Amino acid sequence: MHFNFVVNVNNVTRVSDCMRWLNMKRKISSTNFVIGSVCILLILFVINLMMGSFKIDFHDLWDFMFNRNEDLQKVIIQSRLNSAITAILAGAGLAISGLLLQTLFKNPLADPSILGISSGASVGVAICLLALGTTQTTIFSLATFSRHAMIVISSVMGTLPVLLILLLVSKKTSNKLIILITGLMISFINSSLVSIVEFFSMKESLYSYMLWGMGSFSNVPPQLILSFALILIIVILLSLLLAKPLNAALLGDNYAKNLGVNLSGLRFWTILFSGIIIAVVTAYCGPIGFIGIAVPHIVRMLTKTANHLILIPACVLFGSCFALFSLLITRIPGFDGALPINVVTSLIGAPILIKIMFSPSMKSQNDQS
Amino acid sequence: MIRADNISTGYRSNSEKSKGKKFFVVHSELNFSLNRGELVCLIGENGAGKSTLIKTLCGFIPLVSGNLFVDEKNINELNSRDIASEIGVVLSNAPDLNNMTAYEVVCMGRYPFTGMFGKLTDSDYEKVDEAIGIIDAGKLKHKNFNMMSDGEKQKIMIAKTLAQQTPNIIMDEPMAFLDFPSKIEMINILKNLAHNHDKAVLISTHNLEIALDMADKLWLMNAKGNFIQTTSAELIENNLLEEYFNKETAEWILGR
Repeated sequence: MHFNFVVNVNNVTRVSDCMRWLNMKRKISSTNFVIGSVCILLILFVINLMMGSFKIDFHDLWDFMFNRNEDLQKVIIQSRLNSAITAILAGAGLAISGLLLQTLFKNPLADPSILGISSGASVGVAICLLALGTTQTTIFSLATFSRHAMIVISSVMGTLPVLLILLLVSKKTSNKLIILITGLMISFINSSLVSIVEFFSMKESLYSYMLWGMGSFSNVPPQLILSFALILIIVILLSLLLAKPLNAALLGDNYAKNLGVNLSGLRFWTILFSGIIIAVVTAYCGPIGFIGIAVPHIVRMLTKTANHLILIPACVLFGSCFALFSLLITRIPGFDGALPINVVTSLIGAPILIKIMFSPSMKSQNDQS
Repeated sequence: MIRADNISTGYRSNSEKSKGKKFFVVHSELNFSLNRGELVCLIGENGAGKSTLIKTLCGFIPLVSGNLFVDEKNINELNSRDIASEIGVVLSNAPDLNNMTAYEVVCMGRYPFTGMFGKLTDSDYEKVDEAIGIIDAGKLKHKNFNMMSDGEKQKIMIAKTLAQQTPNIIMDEPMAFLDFPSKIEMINILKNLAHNHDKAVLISTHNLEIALDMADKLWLMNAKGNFIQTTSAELIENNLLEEYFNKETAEWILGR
């Protein structure tokens, strides 16, 4: 009996046991994070369905969900449901692509809009609109499936060259500033290209392009929301497979190589996944800024981890919350949905980002770059 | 154990020096072997090609010609994962890691042995603890990596290599940014690894006096393409320092 007790004590005090206990503690805090953000997500989702110029109370919402009553409200809820789901997917996607790019370029400021990647998508969409012509006020209303496919594909075609240029630059130099400036210059070139395309465009295309550029979560037509969701969910799930090599890539190229990481493969898949996400989201929602940069930083600050296996799901949850919250702000009585989504994400995201830049955990990074 | 058979080291270059050739060769026809249980110091002036040799051995730059054998297997026939479990690397610059504890960094050493999502098993954790125990860094475990001193970071990177369980450890100027007591601590750790844990340890260094005192073997190289494998005693006896450095350095070292 006595002997047993001694053995037990020895086991508990073993270093590995202590570590496992510590790991458990970390897990609990990340489960807390997950539970918290899922709750926030649900609350925001429900409020999003209820709020707007036409108010719907909770009872009616319940009725719609479970009794399927047929009346005017159904149409409104349906369209709100549509934009809420789009917001969740777009927010998750943009946050993930921001996270992937930040790790890939070893740059805390990497983000679809800052590196000029969504500007590449803009060029693709602008050219596509010029080629197709439009008579509609928004680019997606009354559109056929092939038209949608063409817009998405041209958005992808606009995105990938930018990512490849950035990749080449990042292989030539490890200077974070040069990569950022390259991204900025690409944005300038792309906006010039868009201006040229605009010059040759009809008035209607110009107007629809302008509306698209302000960003909106209500462009995805109801019959396409499933395929929109499917593409994004598949790519996000696949990006989980990159978690392990991305963790090793944090140590730097040489250390990662020494651990057996296939660096060129990792670069290829990261570029491809983030490119697809950015292209698809930008094609439908317009170039939305700040979700991609702010969300990964907030998530890192809250979860206090660098492990991508935790960061990726956390970015999905928090990115969705961020996008839903922004959508909610555009619905504030008085604005009535007239406020473009980009205005809101910038107004919320930029101050948060400045605050994070000065936080102690970022300090060492700032000093080095 | 690493054995070099007539290897040439160099780097890709488009400069005039290479005269249109793909590689600018720094050293050619090198023959040496790095054995388990030995601490080898690679010394030479700046620009002598130490880093090029180290990088070639680590696989960061390609071999120009010749054959390199790791445990009698040709390195060209090994895949990246095999090499990862044969050669462990510690670089002079520690990585910049936020939100990561020293323990998590050491856990990275288990990368080649974990599954698709990199989850560590109990035996992985045991090996990580063992690695931390060897370099006596138990106190550092829960410290944030970015909050540690250069010497502590370097120790943790060595622990990462130990968790990787490679028989060969190659280090590029591990003592470059350390203060004097940390340098002594570092070289003692390395000597312990070579002698008591049967590792083959190769370091490049500018600390001649420490290298002469502590190394089992010395590799000298200069920019003229000379390379010699020797020991401290032989080196002083044959007055090689004058050949590989200069007269002043040789006199200063010998005068002590």
